[in-house]
Amino acid sequence: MHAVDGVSFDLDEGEALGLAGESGCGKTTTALSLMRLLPYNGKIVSGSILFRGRDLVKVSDLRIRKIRWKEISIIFQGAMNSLNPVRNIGQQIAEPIILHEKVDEDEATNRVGELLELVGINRDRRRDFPHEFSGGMRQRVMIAMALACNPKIVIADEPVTALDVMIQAQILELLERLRKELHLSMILISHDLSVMAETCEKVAIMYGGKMMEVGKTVDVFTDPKHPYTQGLVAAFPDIRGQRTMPASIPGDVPSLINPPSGCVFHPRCKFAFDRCTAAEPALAEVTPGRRAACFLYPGVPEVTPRPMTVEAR
Amino acid sequence: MGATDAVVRSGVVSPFQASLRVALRRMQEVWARIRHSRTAMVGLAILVFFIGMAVFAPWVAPYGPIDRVADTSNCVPGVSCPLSPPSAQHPLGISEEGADIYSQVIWGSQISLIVGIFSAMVASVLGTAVGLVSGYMGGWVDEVMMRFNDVVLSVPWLVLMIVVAARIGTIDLLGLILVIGLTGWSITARVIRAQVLSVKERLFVERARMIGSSRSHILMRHIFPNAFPLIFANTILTVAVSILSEAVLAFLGLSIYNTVSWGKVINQAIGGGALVIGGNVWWLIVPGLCLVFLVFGFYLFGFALDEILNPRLRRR
Amino acid sequence: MRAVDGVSFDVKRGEVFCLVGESGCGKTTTGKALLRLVDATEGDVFFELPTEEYRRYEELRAGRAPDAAARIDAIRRKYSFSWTEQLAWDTRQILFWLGAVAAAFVLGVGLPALAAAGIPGALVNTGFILGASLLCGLLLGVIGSLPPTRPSARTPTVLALLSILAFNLFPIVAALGWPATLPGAPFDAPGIWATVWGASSFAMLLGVIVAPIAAGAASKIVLARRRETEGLLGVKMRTLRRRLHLIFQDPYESLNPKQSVFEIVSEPLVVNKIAHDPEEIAALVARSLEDAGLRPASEFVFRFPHELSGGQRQRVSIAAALALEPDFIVADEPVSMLDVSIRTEILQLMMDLREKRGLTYLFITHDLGLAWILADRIAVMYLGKIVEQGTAEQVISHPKHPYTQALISVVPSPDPRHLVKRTILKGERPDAVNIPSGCRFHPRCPVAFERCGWSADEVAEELTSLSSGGRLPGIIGIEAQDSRAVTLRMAPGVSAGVAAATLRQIVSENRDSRLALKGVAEIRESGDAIQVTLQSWAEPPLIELGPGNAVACHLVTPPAEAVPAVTA
Repeated sequence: MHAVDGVSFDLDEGEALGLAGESGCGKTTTALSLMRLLPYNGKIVSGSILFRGRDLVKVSDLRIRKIRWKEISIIFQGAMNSLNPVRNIGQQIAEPIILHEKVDEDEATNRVGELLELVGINRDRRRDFPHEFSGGMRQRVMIAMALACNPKIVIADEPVTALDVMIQAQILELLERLRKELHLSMILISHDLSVMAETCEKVAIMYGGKMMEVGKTVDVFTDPKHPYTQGLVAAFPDIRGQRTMPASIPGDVPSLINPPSGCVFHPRCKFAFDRCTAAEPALAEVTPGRRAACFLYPGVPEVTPRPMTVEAR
Repeated sequence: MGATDAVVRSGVVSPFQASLRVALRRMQEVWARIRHSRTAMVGLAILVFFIGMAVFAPWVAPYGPIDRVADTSNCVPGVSCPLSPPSAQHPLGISEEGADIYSQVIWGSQISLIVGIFSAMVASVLGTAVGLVSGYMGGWVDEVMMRFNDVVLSVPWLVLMIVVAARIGTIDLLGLILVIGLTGWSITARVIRAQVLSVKERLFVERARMIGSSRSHILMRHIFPNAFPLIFANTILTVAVSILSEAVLAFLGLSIYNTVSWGKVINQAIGGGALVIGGNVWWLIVPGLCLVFLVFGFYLFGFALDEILNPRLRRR
Repeated sequence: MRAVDGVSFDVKRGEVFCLVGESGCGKTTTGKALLRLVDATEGDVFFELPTEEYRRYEELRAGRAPDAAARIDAIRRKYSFSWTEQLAWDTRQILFWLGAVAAAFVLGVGLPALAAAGIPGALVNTGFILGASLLCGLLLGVIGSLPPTRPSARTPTVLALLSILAFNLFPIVAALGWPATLPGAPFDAPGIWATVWGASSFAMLLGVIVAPIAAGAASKIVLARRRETEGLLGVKMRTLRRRLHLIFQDPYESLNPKQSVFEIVSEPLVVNKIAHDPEEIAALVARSLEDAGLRPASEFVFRFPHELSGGQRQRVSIAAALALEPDFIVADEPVSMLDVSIRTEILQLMMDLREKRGLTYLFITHDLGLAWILADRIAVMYLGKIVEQGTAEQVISHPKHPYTQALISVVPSPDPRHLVKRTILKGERPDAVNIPSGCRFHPRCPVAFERCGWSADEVAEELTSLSSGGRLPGIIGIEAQDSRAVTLRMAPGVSAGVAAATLRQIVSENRDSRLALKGVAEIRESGDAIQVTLQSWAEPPLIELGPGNAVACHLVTPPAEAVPAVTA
């Protein structure tokens, strides 16, 4: 089963890229693959991840472990609920520091204090335990942990999904500030397009394990090219817009075990025509700076079918 | 109305029929998952083997369980006289009372299984009832029942069984079943009660209350079915425990008088010098192994079933 | 701890009312309290209250008529869910009960004794004891349901069981061989008592079953009569549950995984005995499923929840709600756990049903965007209080309360061109156990002022932070004296007058950036310490600005008196 197929994007320094899509579209899998953190039954079948001149797919296990957290770090989905309840947060933030930087305890404690202040938590709270913090504060702890080793890229998987809208605003503001201060690049994964509209410069829309559209956020949201993007953007209510019922996309998310033939979105697409059933569109440039995978646009080639190297059970 | 016709035409006329079809589908699903689980199949194989042994005992065993194989006058020493070692005609030898041990082992499976299964059912029914009521009602009912349960739990079970068994006098099948069943329900009650407490808090129970269900309806239609997987798996494990309890009782001498169980065979084996050097060690080992394997089979099947029936994988 | 305090709103028939707020504001508790899934400690939930009665109710509550309480109670009795007759037994009832037990005892024991003496045969004993049990049960059932007791059938049942036990005690004691003789009895051998009891033990068993049934029947009859004469609404809760419904947030957990869709949707019908005929049930189930959008019904009827998608499960919940043909549905975040592209379908379905079936909705949500597109009227809650209320236009387009304004400003839009000035509040919502004094929002309010409820602790904390920043030289101790004053102690050698003057200066300079300082009314020297007295404050009531539009904020509805401010 191909969880993710035909995904391709690039991230510049200091840029924020959004990976948007509904549940099951493969965005988390994509993010985990970047750090080669796939579970035991997952494998990167083909492709390359170029990071500062090196291809992370081909790099040795030892090397990738050095890169993880030091260069690329990740805030997992729902991680704020997975903090170890029996260790205080200072210890948990210090853990990656001690592992990667080989510093002694005092220095680590200092660094922990710095990080806590950076994310807006009082230094003296480093001896407190996770259950003494609210949801928003715990997410700040996770951000501090992700920044522990001064990475260049931070991947945030649904960082604000479970939070109230006010706390959400606080956390997004924090991430924005950190990005500017520390010159971070960020990949933000979310199903909430509104969050993406606020924070990311570039956005990539995923569906059924494939990438449907990539481009600058402003352009993609105001003039979506792919029918799925059009439907998705129209499905979000706009509190500053008209009081109309948003649109919906009829049908259900596709099964990844038995995907539809040709374009993975065609069963739900109102513009689908016969080519869509026969072949799969590849992600190609439709206007300068914008790529979409849809046969509606001339010049979009077909994807050469790849044989499944891993057999499905 | 078109919709009604469709539902009626699809064969559903009564809610009872609907429930039946639903139950059938559920069982089919469970059976399919059992077939896929190696643990379950191995356990099942063992159980089938021993159940077969018990069912077909009258045809498979060459002799009766307590029949003397030969008279003292015309027995062949070393073959058919009491305390003979294993030979071609008697693969496990002869017991002190002149019975064929091989047949005894085969017949013994009957008692072990019957006592094990039925006493586990008694214990399970009692424990489940107490657990369900106690967990769901809460309050003083719960307190009283649990304190009573604590009393039963804290009495040393073996001593209790021995005392009760001895008091009854001659031990017959029913007596044995009752003794083991009535002393073994306490842990089941605790386990079921814990499960009921957690199911009680689930959202669909709240919704059932909201639409006006009575407490007994909620208990029977919501709590019990969701606790049932645990009850079933627990019962199977209780069977294993009951089999061992029966063996222990028999080993200590409190066993059925008119037939044999494996515990009794082991008891007689020790008494007949199986452990002495030069004694018939197979007399002891074979029934012991049978016990071990039977219990093992129940455990395997019980664990596998627990995993299958428990909705640990919540499909989202 | 009052999770929700002083919430009052009304929902008109056929409208969509949205209760909006962040997590922990009490909206879910309010929704559940409406349906009495959670018991309200105080207050009333009225159902189908005619407007004139409501007006009368409000007048009575505001005014001070001497019989106001009784008249309010009369209204409550007829229209309120939360009305329960909470009255204690009085001596008359207790004596009655004791008399009944005594009578049953005599009948249950004395008659068999007489029978044993003269009339042979266990049959007679059986009859007597059965009769005694019946009588006992009936008496107790009637007593238990008479006013002024709590209308419940359980009490008499328990009493009946207890008295059965009581009047069996005597023969049990006799059977155990203890000397038990009734003074003056024609015979005194315990053995005969034991025989009597043994012979009628079967009757006893029947009696145990008969008495509670008799008690239950008797109390039901009495209660029904009372209901007719007094029209108690509170007692009818179970029948009313049919007309009110709640749709839960979690489509996965709210369905029993062991029940098929058919069982789930037919359960309300079966439990409320609405339909008995299997064909009728099947028809109603099919109709509900189709109305909820699951077509064709026959395809879904035998599926289990784990075979359905989130949207389909929510539709099953809706179908189960529709089966009862309710009037009023409380929907607690019905779509927040669903994918975005199917949210609209479910919401559209709910709106269509509102037209088709004349439903009224109370939507509980934290998503202001949803409230914007769905609601006729909105109430914004914060920490258990309604802070603003009005039509969707009023609340979302022209918010008046600072919290509402901040909340709306931070809601993201999917259109990146909408650049809004966001008012991101600092800090987090306080715990429900530490509710701020005065206006509950004041610690986080960007425009709080003097009357908002600054407590001594808050002012002391602010002063401490100033002091640790070195801005208050010479002051070493800052302590909140009581709820209205803060005392500051000087370092030795520093004069109170000078320190007080510095303090006044600092306070007046910083009161716009450190809002807690606005709570300072007066700074005085007293001896060698400085006494800071605080402004008086009041909790802002929900005041109506226009028809249907209300706000609870001192800024919007300024209190009458002028507020003194500290100047240097």
